[in-house]
Amino acid sequence: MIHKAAREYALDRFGPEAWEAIAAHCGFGSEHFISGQHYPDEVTVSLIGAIAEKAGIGGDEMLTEFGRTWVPFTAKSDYAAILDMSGDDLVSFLRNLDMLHTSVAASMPKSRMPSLAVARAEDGEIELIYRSHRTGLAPFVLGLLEALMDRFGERGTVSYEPAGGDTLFRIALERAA
Amino acid sequence: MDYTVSKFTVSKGEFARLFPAHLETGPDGIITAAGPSLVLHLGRDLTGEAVLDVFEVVRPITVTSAGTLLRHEQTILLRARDRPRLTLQGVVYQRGGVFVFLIAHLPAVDDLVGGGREAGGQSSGEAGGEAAPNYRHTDFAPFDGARDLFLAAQICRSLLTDAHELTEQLKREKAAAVAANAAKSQFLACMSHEIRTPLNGVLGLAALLARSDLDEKQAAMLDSLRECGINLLGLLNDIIDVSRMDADVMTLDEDEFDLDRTAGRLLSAFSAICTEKGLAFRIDVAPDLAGARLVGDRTRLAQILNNLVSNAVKFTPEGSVSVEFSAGPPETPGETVLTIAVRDTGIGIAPDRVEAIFEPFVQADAGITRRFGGTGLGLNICRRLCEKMGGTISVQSAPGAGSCFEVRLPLRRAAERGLAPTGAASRHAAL
Repeated sequence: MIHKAAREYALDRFGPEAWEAIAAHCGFGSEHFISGQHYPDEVTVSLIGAIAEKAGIGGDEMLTEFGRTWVPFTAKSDYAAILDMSGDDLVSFLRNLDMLHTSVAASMPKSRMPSLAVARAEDGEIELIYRSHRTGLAPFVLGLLEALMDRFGERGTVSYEPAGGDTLFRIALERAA
Repeated sequence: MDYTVSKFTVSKGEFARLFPAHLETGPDGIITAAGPSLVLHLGRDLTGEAVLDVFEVVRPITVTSAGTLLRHEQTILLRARDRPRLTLQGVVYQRGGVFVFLIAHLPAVDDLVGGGREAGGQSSGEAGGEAAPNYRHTDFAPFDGARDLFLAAQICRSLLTDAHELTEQLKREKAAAVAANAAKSQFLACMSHEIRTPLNGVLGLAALLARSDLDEKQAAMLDSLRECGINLLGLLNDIIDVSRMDADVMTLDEDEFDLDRTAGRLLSAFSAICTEKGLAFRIDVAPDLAGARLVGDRTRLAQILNNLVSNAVKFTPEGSVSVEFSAGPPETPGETVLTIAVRDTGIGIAPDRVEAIFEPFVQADAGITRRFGGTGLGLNICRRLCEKMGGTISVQSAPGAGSCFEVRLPLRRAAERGLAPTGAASRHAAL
């Protein structure tokens, strides 16, 4: 899925020729775009890195931008129903994310799903504890959360900071006066 | 009301989270409470409605009244009357005149394997126009495996979509590759044919020229010219053969032929060059094949033999080249499996290149092409000819230890003409 999203992002932004060049540079063929398959992290990282290089932006910025595209991409894919199942408002969705990851992991045993737990949700503020086997993906989560706010018609800001071995995300929602 | 198990009590809210699709009725089967999932998907509160008005009982089929339903202590299967895709499975418990249905959603096959939704999350309206239930995680009890099943089915659908797309892409690419190959073969065959015609003219004129009064230097130059022309003609013939086989338009003739004569021609063709290189050359025909008349394409058989022996001579700097004809056990009556072993004491082939040498334009290594020349078409043609004749070709070889190519061809024996086999092996040898 993530490879398909990256392909669509690159196609939209740079066009087919540039995408072909990026795919060739990273050694990507049709076999790298099968949903539900587990691919080594380094394969995905090389693809994202190549796209960032083409875009002329840093890796973190690329991850955030890519996170923003992930939600709308998934919403129009075969995984749309899975996304829909997770809730009809931002807080419900975030509360169900761990359940979603648990269920998906049951079908994809090789996957290493992250954990996102809502620690607090009140007064227009949401705090999330993010934990992952992978490092350096907090900017991606930042983009995801921004896209989820869009999905549920919310506006606000997202920030994050280290919290022990985890990452604490804060969403400050804008509320109409 | 709260629900108590021994001393453990859960609140109504907690119970609703544990069983989001539960029902509560009185002894008359009138619903007194419904779980949030049922309220959401049926679009109303349900309180005050008769359970059998809201739900059809699929199992047990013996239920005719609320009383028999409420007394049933086994699993029940319910289907919402005004929303048949909403199927539920559970059990009924009774405490103090209150009946509680502990039930879970049972996604329909359509919901799992397709037809439930389309990309983008829109319900597709299958099953007589009814939209699939728009399930949420909160519709399922926390321990309900149906949710995982639902998600697994979605993942599976996505995988099937990808597999279908990939298959279609491969089909398109294969068709394009086949078309490109056919165009290439046609072009090569056409060009080769067009080149071969004038080349035959050049060679014919060179032969006539050779009979004229030439000095020694001119004769040597003409020899070189003819040799180059003959090599080029051989290459063109190979290309035409490969192209015709690619296009599957090559046909085989069926002639009666004398195996001894075939062996004799082979000896004649290669004796001189073997003598020139100082190689021993021998041909053995097994006693049971001596004098045998077989039916097959003798021209193509000769082409295979010429290719194999030519290679053996080319790649054998010293020692010997031999050809043995024998008959393997027939697979069908009246048939002879002609087995031909072409052995040499030449440079041999590395194990990792043994299979590759039968591919077109491939030789044992790049150095071979530089040292010995050739296009790498000969063995590919041999293999394809053998296969077209229903036979096989294989090789055993090792670097420095020579090679043995074995051809096995099923051929019919010609009807006897009163000439009894001699019973003796034919043997031809040079040196």
